[in-house]
Amino acid sequence: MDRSFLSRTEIAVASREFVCIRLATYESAEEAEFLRGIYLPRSGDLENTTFGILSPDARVQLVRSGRGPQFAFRSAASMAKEMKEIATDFKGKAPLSDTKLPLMASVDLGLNVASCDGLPLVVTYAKSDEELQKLNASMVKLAWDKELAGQYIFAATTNRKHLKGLSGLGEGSSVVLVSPGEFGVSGKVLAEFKADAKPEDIRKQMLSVALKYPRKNKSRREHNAAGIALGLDWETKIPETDRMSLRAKERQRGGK
Amino acid sequence: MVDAADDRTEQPNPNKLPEAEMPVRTLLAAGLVLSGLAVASDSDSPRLQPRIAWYGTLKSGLAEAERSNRAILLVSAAPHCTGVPGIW
Repeated sequence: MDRSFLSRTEIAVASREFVCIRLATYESAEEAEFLRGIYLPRSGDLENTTFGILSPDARVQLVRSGRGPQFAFRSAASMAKEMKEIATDFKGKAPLSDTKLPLMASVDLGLNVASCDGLPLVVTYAKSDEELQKLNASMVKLAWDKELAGQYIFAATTNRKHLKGLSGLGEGSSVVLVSPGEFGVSGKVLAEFKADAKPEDIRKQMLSVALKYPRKNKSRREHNAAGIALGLDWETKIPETDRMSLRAKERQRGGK
Repeated sequence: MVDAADDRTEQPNPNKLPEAEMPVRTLLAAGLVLSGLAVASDSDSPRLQPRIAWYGTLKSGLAEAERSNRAILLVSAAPHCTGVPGIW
């Protein structure tokens, strides 16, 4: 079930003229500080969600910031219209001309976010930073490919231990397509490539996986109950401060 | 980061999961949250729904915005619900 402005096609199309940044709240002190400068409720506590549209230097808020797009727009259509107008005010470079992979901060976080989104994950792995940079550079065009952009979450690492949660992983793989588990704490390898694989072969596989990838609607109630029963408790990098969320957690976990 | 979970138990049949009712506040938050749901549809590639392509870190996103002089669509959300990962 689609309850979101941001999953609407017109918003996705309009987003091509923007640089889209989606942070994981409470996973970085530096990012949290930035978010506090974008929107803080009266409580003064950073909440679970933040939304804003900013100038390219991030110094000017171009619409009313808040917890979500609903703080600034009455509908997805009005949001898309406003985004088009904003885009004309900035003579940016061509859409999808990005020069870097849109990486998550870690493989763990990448798995989790991919699971949240219901999307497959691409993990790049090399033994050294230099090799990894070279590998990631070779993947940039695929990440921003007209058809593939937004269809995958990306993560990279030079530490093989970070791949321990991936079942079916072979030796010597450098680019791995992964289906994240229901809770995003493990994943299943769908396809893997050596560092010297041809980009067109990787693209073909990425497109094939994206087209076949099952779209799941998770039940929040069932998901949370199952996760708690399994003993899962995501440990944020910095303390969570959303009071309503904290109360709900205490309630659902029996005061633990 | 999280407690280990058995992979088998991590993949329940989604077809058996009932629809959940979200609190109003959660629905509001979901506006940005579920964004991940970027999506598909260029006129010449009708097979995939167009999705927003997100930078996952502030540093990389700000650098690209400055380089390309494009405005920034910013969203942040916690990738867990009451501590359970895998859901916004």
